Amino acid sequence: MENNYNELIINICLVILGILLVLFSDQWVDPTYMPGISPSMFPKLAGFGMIITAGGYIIKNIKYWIKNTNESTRKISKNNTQYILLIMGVFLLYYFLVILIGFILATIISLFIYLRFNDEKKLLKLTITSIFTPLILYFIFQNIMKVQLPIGLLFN
Amino acid sequence: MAQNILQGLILFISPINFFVIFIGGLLGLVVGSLPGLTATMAIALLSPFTFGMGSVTGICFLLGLYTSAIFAGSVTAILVRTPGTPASAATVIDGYPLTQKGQGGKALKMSAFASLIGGLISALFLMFISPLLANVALKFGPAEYFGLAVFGLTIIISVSGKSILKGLSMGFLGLFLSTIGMDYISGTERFTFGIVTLSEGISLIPVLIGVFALSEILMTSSRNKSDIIKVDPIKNIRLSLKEIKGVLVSIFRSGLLGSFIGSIPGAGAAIAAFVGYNEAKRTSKNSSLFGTGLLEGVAASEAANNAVTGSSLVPMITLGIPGSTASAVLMSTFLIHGLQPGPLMFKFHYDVIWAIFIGFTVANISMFVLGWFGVPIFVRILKIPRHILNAIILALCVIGSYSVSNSMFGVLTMILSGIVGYLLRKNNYPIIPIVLALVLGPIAERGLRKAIITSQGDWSIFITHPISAITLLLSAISIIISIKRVGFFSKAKSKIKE
Repeated sequence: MENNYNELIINICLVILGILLVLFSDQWVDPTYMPGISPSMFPKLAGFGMIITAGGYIIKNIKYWIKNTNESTRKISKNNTQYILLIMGVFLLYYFLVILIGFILATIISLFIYLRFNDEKKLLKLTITSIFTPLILYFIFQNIMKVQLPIGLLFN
Repeated sequence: MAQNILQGLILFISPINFFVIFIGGLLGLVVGSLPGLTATMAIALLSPFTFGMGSVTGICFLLGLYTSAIFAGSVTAILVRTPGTPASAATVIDGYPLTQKGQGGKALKMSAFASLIGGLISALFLMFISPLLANVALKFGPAEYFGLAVFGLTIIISVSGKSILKGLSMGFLGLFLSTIGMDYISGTERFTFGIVTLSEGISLIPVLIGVFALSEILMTSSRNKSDIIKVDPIKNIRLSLKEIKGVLVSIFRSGLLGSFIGSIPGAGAAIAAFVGYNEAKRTSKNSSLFGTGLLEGVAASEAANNAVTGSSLVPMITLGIPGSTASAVLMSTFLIHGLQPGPLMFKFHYDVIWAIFIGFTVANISMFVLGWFGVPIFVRILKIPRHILNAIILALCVIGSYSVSNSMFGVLTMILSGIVGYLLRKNNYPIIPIVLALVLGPIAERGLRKAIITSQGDWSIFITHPISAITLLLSAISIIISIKRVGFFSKAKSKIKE
């Protein structure tokens, strides 16, 4: 039931995105002077498509949502949401750490944090996974597959 | 012709050729299963190793690598919901639910078997009707590509589940994402906002890794540990003869479809896999069960995507025009070994050509042997505790996204795709339509606009060109059948969980 509220939000976002696409696409001039095949054609098609389908979904379900949504259905497990937001934060932290300190160190730190968030308490497992995973992957990709991995701005 | 085959056989039969095909197959398994590393990349990286080999030996090594890499994408697609190659994106739909039911090993064996049959069908195409296929492929102009892309896009309705409106809105979202970057025809920069990296557009592989793998890490992280079904992955890996018999028709049909689509330059294994999957779903007695973990779904997509491997060589060998990025790299290896692909190859190097055809057939058999007997090893991945497996997958996702263009932008794309993919999946929005539109949108747009330019504004080009007219008609029929089957404006919420 909590999905009703979330679905409404998602569909409204899609409609807004569709409107922005249609308005924003007008700036691209048709270089061939042939109507309908300018660079704005497909963005406008995508925009109108989103407006019609997402808008249609809202109209189709609005009565159902109003009838079936009450305060209790809006309660989302706060603990779960916080946990998911933390995990997303770990992903973004990983991204910035790779840029700063390179793949190996960033992976060691990020995997350690991720595993701790997942209640991994055994130090041996934590250490082996967070240290050996990046080292083995680095060896395989850098030395065997010849894929250059980032070394980080601090060490560059 | 019999004499040519015999001479090719004499040239091919040598222990070293079998050995290199096997080694190539092993390497292909490793590379193909790692997200972000494509078969093309593997061929490009390892082709220098063939310089010291004979022409037949060197090319057979790369063919062994190629066929196994395409199959291996299904290993991670089925076991951990991470397609190793874009060609395996369709395999996730039914492959991963099978793993969740404890039948991951069975799904892998079916994938190996279907890939073998698909590969052998394309080998037959390559050997016996490549000149005919090449002539048909040459007739494909912009209008025909548009028709093919539209036909592929109609699959969106089929994979939308019970809510077509949700699926279509995701398809249009994917279409928007496919327009980001420099316009192919006019050079206009669309939705780049001055960011140079966006000029190249949104890369497919980081999006695939994000929406499949990263979103799955978030989904399994968010689920209560008691919700995760614990099944013994090694217990149920036997594939019965009855199960194989039940999917043979789908496999052969997908193999034929994949062989035909693969011979069209630029079409790609991903399109073939989705078309094969969709046709199997459309004609199956159990079509409503597709997406919930059906062996037929895995078989259809894998047969189609491996069928592309042989037929993508058709335009390259017969006309000297590479049909795919992988065949373009293979073509360079041909040239290095003193073989000029094209019509004269059949005249001056017929024994070498036939040796390569036989080598390709053996490569498919080697891929099957490695895949089939490797299943008990592959499924042991599932014995690793989920959170540790997620941690390893997370590191692989970063490498895979980075290695596409050696840029952290790919990693950022992957993370954002993963977050958006998680939010959509949590609210029962299908994400396959986004992937489909991202793959087919550019082909449809270029085809449409180039067709109109060449016809100087005459839209009847799509009807006057027979292939285009037929594919558009098939698209309309496909839409009507899919809508009728699902029921448009269905009030039931989508129950298909991805």
